[in-house]
Amino acid sequence: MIPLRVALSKGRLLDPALALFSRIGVTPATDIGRELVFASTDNRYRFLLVKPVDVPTYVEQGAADIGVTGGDVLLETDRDVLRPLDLAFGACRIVVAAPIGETANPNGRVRRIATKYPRIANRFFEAQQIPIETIVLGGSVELAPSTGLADWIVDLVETGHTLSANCLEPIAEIASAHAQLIVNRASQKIRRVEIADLINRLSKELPC
Amino acid sequence: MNQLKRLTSLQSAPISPAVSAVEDRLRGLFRAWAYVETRFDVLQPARDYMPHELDRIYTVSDAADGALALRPDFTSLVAREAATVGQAVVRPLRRCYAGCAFRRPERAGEHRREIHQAGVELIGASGELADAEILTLASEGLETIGFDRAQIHLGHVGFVHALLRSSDLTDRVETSVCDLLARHDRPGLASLLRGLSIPAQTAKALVSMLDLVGTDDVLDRARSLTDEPDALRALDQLETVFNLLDHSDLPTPVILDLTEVRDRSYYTGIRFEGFDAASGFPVLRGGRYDQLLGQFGADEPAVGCAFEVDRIASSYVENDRRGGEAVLIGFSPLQWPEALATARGLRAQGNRVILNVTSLDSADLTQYEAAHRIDRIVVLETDDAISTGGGPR
Repeated sequence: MIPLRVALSKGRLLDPALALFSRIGVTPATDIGRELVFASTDNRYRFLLVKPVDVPTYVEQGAADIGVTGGDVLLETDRDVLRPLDLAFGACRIVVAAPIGETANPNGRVRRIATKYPRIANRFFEAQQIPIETIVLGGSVELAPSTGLADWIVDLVETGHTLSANCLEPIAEIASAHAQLIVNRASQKIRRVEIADLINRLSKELPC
Repeated sequence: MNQLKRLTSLQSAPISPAVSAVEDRLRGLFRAWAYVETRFDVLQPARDYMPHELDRIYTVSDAADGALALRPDFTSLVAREAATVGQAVVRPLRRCYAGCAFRRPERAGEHRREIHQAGVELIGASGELADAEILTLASEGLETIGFDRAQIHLGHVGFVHALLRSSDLTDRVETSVCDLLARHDRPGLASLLRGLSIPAQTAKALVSMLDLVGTDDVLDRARSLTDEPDALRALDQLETVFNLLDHSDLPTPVILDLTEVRDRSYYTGIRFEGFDAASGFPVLRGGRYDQLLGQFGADEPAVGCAFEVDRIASSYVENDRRGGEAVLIGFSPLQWPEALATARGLRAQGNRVILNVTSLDSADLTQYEAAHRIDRIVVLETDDAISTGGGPR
């Protein structure tokens, strides 16, 4: 049998994803270490470790049959994948955050928004009919206001500690999301029995 | 650096030879079913397209004719041609095409702009037998191009329409429901429906749609979800087509699938997609579109399908190994007649034969053999004895 290819996000979602698979008896055949590709002990699954933002691409293009990715990544990348299961871990909010106590727009110009999520930010402010200038950053977005690079940020928040440590506070919530199981459209058709079985087993391990 | 140049030059090859190979195979099949190939200009008058279609169409301007559009598809061109010739040509019309359509990417990150397609349109034929003809042809097409692990998923948009109509949703909510159905987002759909004041039975039916895929009891389960006459009529039609196919010993299995809600405004009856384990995308789409010809002044039924040739071609190399060997014949200029006769004999056995007309030496031959996936080299000896090298790989 050809193994199902599962793309997993490196980083904060990896451990809970592996733990969930382990609860249905699917465990890596080897110590993961620095491996980027590894099989399950029963050889029915082949895991690929990729950057979180790349998981939907792997799945959409058919390089992986299924994937585990963050809701924030799905919102930002807008890839054509199926989303049959909310995995109930990796809870996060995407918020607009401003310097604590800010009350006005002092120089009356278009707000500059630093973010790793330009599409989410643009869509949100467009809907609010608020003109903005987007500054795309790869990380440490919270530094942008204090260094004068941007006025506000749009970023992922789990606990809010990082925001407050950088003298920022949320002023609007754009979305809240969990990790999602995503599926390639063609795989869903061709391997629907295996995938339905996997979804069924995983869903039984999730909190009601 | 030389290696880099060699590798990048492969990537800049104009069009994969596999595209032509796939087109050739499909053309042969279409001809065998008596479909007549129609060719269309790449540039079409932009005024022939609806304003909402222009978002995805490339246009250029011309001093003489004004705005021109790069053809975004073939079906509308076939439909327009059929409407133009009118009833002067006895129905049904069987038309086929192969070529490149051009469309702007729908979403950011999508890079497909030139879309190679080959397809058939059966115009002026209503009823389940016409549907079955197109589906059978689709099934044989997938076999022809070597997809032996393919499936065709067959549904009917009449069921979806009737279910949505009975739900009595506002346009905005219906769009949201269909977006969630299209993504198989069961939790999102359940959450949305919980917030609506619609009967529990209707909500259950909408969520249950996502399970309506398979072969055995799909139609019974679908019937249990609704008593809408239009939905039941759609299921009856689907069952008739499915039964026709079920008794046809098709090379590609057909799966009943009522989970698809996309394209519901275009199709009017059956709709289907083909998938293969070798591709992460649908390799075939089709269905009944009885309202399209009406846009061109001819109220006629039609059904057809299109093969996604470029998607197929990307996984076609291995399939091309089917159907005989690739044989290269080495010979001296004086042996031209014998070489031709040998080639004819090998071709008659179903092989692809290359004549070594450039007098490659043995080192060149080895290189050529590897580069062009030659299975066997036949060298005509000076005394007309034939020696063979290579071998099936």
